[in-house]
Amino acid sequence: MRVAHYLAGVQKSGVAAERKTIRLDHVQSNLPRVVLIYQVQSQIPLVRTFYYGEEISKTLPSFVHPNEFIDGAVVSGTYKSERKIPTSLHCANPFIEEMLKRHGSEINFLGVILSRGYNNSFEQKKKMGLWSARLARILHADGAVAMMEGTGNTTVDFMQTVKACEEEGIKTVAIMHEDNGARGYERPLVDHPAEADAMISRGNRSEKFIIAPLDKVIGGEEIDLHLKAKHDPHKPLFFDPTIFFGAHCQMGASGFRAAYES
Amino acid sequence: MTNVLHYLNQFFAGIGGEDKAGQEFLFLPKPTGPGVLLRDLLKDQQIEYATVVCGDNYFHEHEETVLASLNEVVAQFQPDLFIAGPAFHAGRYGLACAKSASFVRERFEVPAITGLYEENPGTREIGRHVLVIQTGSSAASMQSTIKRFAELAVLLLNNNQESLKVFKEEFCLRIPRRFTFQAAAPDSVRALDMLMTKLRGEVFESEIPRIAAAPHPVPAAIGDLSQATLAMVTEGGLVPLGNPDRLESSRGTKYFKYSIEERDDLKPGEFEAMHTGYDTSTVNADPDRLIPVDAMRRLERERNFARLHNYYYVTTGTGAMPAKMQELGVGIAEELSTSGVNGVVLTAT
Repeated sequence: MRVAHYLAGVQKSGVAAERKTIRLDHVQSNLPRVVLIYQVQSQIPLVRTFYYGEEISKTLPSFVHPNEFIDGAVVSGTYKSERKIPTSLHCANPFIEEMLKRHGSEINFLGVILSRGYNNSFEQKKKMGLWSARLARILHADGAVAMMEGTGNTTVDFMQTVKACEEEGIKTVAIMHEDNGARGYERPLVDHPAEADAMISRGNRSEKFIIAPLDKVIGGEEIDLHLKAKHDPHKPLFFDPTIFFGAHCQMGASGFRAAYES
Repeated sequence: MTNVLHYLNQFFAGIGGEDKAGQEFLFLPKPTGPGVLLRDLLKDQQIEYATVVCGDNYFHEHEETVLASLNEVVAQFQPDLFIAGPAFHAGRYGLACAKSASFVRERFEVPAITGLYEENPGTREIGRHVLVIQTGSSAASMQSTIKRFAELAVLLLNNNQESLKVFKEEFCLRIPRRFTFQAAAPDSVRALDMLMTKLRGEVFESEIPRIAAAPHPVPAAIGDLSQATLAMVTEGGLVPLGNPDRLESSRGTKYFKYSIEERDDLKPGEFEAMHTGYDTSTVNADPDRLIPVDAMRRLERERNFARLHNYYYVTTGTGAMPAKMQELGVGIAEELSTSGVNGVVLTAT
């Protein structure tokens, strides 16, 4: 109610609305043709993604205009944990924004390939990779930026996609969080084929850190951590980023990456 | 006045040898053992020196309470520097040094140093920013090691970054670990920059190195199954109802064994699956579908194999750390091997 009041107040003041036109203008020159591969999660209730209201687990990868994302065509039905992409990020995705920004000057941004991970068999994971790469090939993409929702198992679907694109001659950069363990010596990724030679890191998501006790706490007496644990916010919290919803995206957007400590 | 807190085990504190490995955690408001030499080398600094002691066995059997006690001491004493060991090649001591030093550094941001031989298992428990002076394998090098400790202590207390860098390169163990840093730009910007470089055919550096998985040798098949003792193992998180040993529901750090002696099947309501990586309702409805006691007993009766081991072993996969899982696997394998088990039915989820 208070937000509605506030927004109505702004309207009343007669401030001119800011207009922004977002368009993929036709590009004349030989700028490299680039797609964004956007792999989401859609499996069971509370873990779903919707494209125009249809749950996408039975669909093939779709070619989507970036404006459809901005308009809210992709809606997140995944409701918890660090590895999910909320609807707000589907609508305002930093990768889409960056590629729109560079469209016409550095790249010819063709659009987005919306695909899905966590396929049930290796055969299906491989197919998903081939379907995504085929779409990119038909579009005559020279390059691809690939990102994914989730972790673990779905890395295989993702890497199959990266591999398939590279095999089509489509130069691919892939973004992943790392799971190096609290002590930093675990292998960063659960699957990493040689073709994935251009990786961007989102940081070590299993690294623990201290959150100092809070003076002011609103909204409840305890923090509900997943894994069925609870925490008293008046005490210091020592945990890794996986307790925060959407942490993978946030870590990436904050510019965190992992590297060998010197 | 600078406060220095030093962790020692029962032996180096002069309390006793292996017979005193159960020594409880205690606080001494003075230096002892190698701390005496270290205190002396630092006599130019205004130092208040205290020691915490714990038996090597006691630490590992009561890690949580020891760290809670250490937490109390650090909160009260407020050290400016924490020192553990040196432990040389002593495994239990090295682990305790690594864990206590890491704990103090992580919770209190107090500079922490220890000394380990490069093969000490404690090197796997060193937290970020903890400095590990490389030592020889035996306490024969105690004197020279303590001199190094003193040098490093002075550099840390004076916050001499340049000299610290030089000292680290020369005397500290380089343990290759990956931690989080702040890059110059968000991932979206770096991704497009890297793509442009790659498209131009120019040299770029991938941010995540490809680290090959260690090859897993496939064991030879059991020739004559009819003579074999088999056991069941799972990472599916099946535990007695109520999860008495508090197995984690993801990223397991421990394994447990539960008896199936005299059992012909596992009943719903007696067991539950602690696991967030799969739909556990089918297993909760019939635990045999994860640990197939019913099927195995039938095969045992039909003499398909000789004997079903009395215990099944369990941990929790899903998001689990590979190195930890390997450690647990080795532990389970050792127990099964000494129990005369020849083969394992492993149910993965």
